[in-house]
Amino acid sequence: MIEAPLQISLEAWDEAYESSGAFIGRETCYGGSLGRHVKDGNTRLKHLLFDNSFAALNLWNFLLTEEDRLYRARYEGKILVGTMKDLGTVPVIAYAFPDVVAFYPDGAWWIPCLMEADEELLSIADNLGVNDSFCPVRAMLGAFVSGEHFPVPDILVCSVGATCDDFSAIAQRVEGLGHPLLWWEIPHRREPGAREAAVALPGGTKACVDQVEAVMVELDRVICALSDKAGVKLTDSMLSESIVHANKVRACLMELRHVVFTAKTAPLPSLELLVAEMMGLHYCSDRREVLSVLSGLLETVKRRVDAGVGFQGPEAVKVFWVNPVADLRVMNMLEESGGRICGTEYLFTHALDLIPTDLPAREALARVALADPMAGSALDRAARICNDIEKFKAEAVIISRIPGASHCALEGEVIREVVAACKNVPVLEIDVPSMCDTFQETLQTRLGALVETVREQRKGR
Amino acid sequence: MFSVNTRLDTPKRVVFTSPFVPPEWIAAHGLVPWRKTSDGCHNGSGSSGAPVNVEAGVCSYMSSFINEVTSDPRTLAVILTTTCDQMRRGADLIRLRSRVPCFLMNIPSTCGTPQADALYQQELERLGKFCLSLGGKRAEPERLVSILLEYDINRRMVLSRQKELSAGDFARELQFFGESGKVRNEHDAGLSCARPSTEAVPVGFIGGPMTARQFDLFDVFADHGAEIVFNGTESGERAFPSRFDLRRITAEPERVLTEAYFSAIPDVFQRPNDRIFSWMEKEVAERRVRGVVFIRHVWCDKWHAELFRFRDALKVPLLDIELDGGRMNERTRNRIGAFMEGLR
Ligand code: SF4
Ligand code: SF4
Repeated sequence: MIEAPLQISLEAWDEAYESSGAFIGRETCYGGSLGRHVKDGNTRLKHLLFDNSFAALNLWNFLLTEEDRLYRARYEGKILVGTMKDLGTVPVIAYAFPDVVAFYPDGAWWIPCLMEADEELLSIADNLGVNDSFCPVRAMLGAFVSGEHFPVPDILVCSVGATCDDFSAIAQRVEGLGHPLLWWEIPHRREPGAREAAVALPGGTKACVDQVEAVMVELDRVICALSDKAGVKLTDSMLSESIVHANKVRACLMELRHVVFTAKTAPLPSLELLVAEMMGLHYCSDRREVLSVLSGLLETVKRRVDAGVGFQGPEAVKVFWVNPVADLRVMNMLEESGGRICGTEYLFTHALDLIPTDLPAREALARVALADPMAGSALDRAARICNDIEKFKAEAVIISRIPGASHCALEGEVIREVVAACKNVPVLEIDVPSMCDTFQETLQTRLGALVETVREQRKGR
Repeated sequence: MFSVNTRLDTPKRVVFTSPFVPPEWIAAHGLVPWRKTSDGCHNGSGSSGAPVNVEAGVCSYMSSFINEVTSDPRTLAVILTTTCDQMRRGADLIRLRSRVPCFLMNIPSTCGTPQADALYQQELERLGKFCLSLGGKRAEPERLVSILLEYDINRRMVLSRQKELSAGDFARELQFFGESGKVRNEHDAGLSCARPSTEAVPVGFIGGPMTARQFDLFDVFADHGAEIVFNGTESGERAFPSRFDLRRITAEPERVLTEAYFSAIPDVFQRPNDRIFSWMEKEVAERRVRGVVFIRHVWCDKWHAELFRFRDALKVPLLDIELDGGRMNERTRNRIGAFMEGLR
C-alpha cells in the first residue's frame, strides 16, 4: 500500500513528523522536522505546500542545511570554492580535487524569497547602490558583506562574457569589496559558419571548434588556480572520475524529469522538481549525498507511477515552464490552478544534460560550458523549448519574468514569438518578484485563465 | 564593388555603434563603415513592427539604435557587440524580425590575457569574412595602411578641436567623424567656437553612450558655467583607439588593430574593470576637474552598478544622470543647476 500523494502545509508536515514513527531509523544527519528551518529565518516555508513523501522531506532538509555543511567543511579544513555564474561546469572540476567543496554564492538569489525579503540583506545591497532594478542576485552582494549566509570562499571563480549583465555587474562589485575573483571567459556561442569546423554540444546545439578550444584554455586557467589552492595537481583521470559522478547525478535527474513529465497523473509537484533540478548544479555541497537524495525521490516517484497515483487527475493541464521563479510559492500556484509541470527550462539545461565521456575530459567540460542557454542566442533557447514541448506534449507555456533581470524582457519576446509560430500552444508571460503575496490573486487568475484556455481547446479537438 | 542603393544613390552603410568595431577594417574591405550615434527618437515602445517593441525592461539606447538602423534604407548591415546582454539580445530580435544582415561581434570581457586578445583577433577575421559576404573585397595591405593613416590623421585632427569648440559641438564633431571618418571644416559644420569664460568650472563626463538629442546636456552645463574638459562617455574621446603601430600593420594587421582597440579602450564591461577607473582618475587629476557627471541609461546594469564605485573613487562631487530616452526634463535641469552651484 502506498500513501496517497498530497501537497501539505508546513504545519501538517510537522504534525505528521512528530506523530508518526515512520521516519525513525531512516533519518539522515541533516534530517528532522521542516519547521525547524523557519527558526533559521526561512519563513517563506510557512506559505508553501510540500509533497508529503519522506523522499521530499529529505530533499528539503538537504537543501536547507547546506550552510551547515559549508561551515563544517571549513571547520574540517577543506578548501571552499565559490563558483559563480557558470552553473554546473566548474563544480565538476572542483569536486575532482580531494577535500575541496564547491558552492554557488549565486544561490543567495533565493534568500529574499526564503527569508521573505530579508530586509537586512537587500538594504545592504541598496546601500551599495544595487537597488531593485537588479535581479534578486543582488542579495549575493549583501550576503558577502554580512558574511551570514555562507562562509567566505577560499577562492572565487566567476564566468563572464556571454552572461547576463546583472550577474557580471554584481560580481564586479563583489570584487570591488575586496574579494579577488578569477574571471574566465565564455564567449557568445555562435552558429558555426558553413566552412567552419563544428562540434555538437550536449543538448543539441553546435559550436565551432575555435570556441571550444578557447574555453578549454580558459578552463585550464581555472584548473591551475584550483590546483594551486588545493596543493594537488589535477590529473585527467581525476577529472574523468568527477565527470562520471556528475553524470550519475544528471542521469538521475534526467530520468526523474522524464518520469514526472510523461506520467499519466503528476507524480511530483512542480516545486519539488525545481528543487531537485537545482541540485544538479553543485550537489548542494555534498556530491555523495545528493545522489542518495535524488535516487530516493526518483524511487518514490516511480512507485507512485506504478501504483497509478498522483496529484490532481489526468485532466490537469500540462504546462512547460520557462525561467526559474523568484518566489517559490508560485510553483504551488500552478497546481492550485489546475496545471501540472510537463517540461522546464530554468536557464541551466546544460547542468542537466549528460557530459560526453568519449572526449578528453577538458574538452567535454568546455562543450558543456558553451552549451549554457545563456551563452547562446535566445533563438537556440526557444528551439530547445519547442522540441521539449513536442517531446513532453505540453499544452501551454509559462514564461516567468525575473524582476530586474537584464535578459528577460528581450528573451521573453523571442521565446514567445518562436513558440507561438512553431507550436499551437498558448503562452503566458508573468512577472514573478521574490514575494508575490500582494498580487497573488491576479497571478492566480491569470494562471487559471491559461488553464481554462487549454481546456476549451481540448473540447474543440 | 560597393552595394549601391540606387534610390538614394549613395553606398549603403555597415552600421555599428560600439567603439570596439574598427571602421578601418570595414573600409579596407571596400565597404562604408558608419559608427552611428543613435538619434534617440525611436526607442521602440509602441512602435509595432520595429525589432524592439518592448514596453519595459530594455535600454533605450539599444532599442533606439536597433530600430533606427533596421528601418533606415541606407543600412547594408548592422554590427552589434556582446559588450552587454541587451545588445546581444538585440541581435536576436534583428535576426527574428528584420532582414538586415546582422553580425554579432564577440568582444571578450576579460582583458590582458593572450586568450582574450586571440578571441578578439578571431572576431576581426570573421568580420572580414562577413564584409566579403556583403560584397566587399579583400583587405589588401596597401589599402589598409592608407586607410589607417587617413583615419589616424583625422582622428588626431578631430580630437585637437576639443579646445576650440563647445562641448556640444565637439560631441557633434566626434559624431560626424564616427559616421564618415572625416573632419569637417568649420565653415561646413557651422560650428560655434564659443569658448567658456575663464571662470568656467572644469567638469568631466563619464558613462555610457549618449544619443544625438542628449548632446543638449552639454549646452545646459555650459549655460550653468561649466567647461566640459573631458568626455568619458561612450560617445566621447574615451572610446577612441590608441595610435596604430604602423610598422607592423602589413605583417600583422589584426594584431595591430587588437592593440589599438581591444587592449586600449577602457570600458566598464571589462573584467576586471580597473582600466576605466584609472583612465578617469588620470583625467580628473590632469585637468583639475571639480565635478564629474555620470551618464547612464535606465536598465543599463553595467554602468548603474559602478556608480557607487565611481563616486567612491572620486575626490570631487559626482552627479548621476539617468537617461530614459526622452528629452531632458525640468527636474534634471534643476539638478544640474544645483550641482553647478555647489561646484562654484
Ligand atoms: S536571474 Fe537572470 S539576470 Fe539574474 S543572475 Fe540569473 S541569469 Fe542573471
Ligand atoms: S547603455 Fe548599457 S545597456 Fe545600453 S547598450 Fe550601452 S552598455 Fe548596453
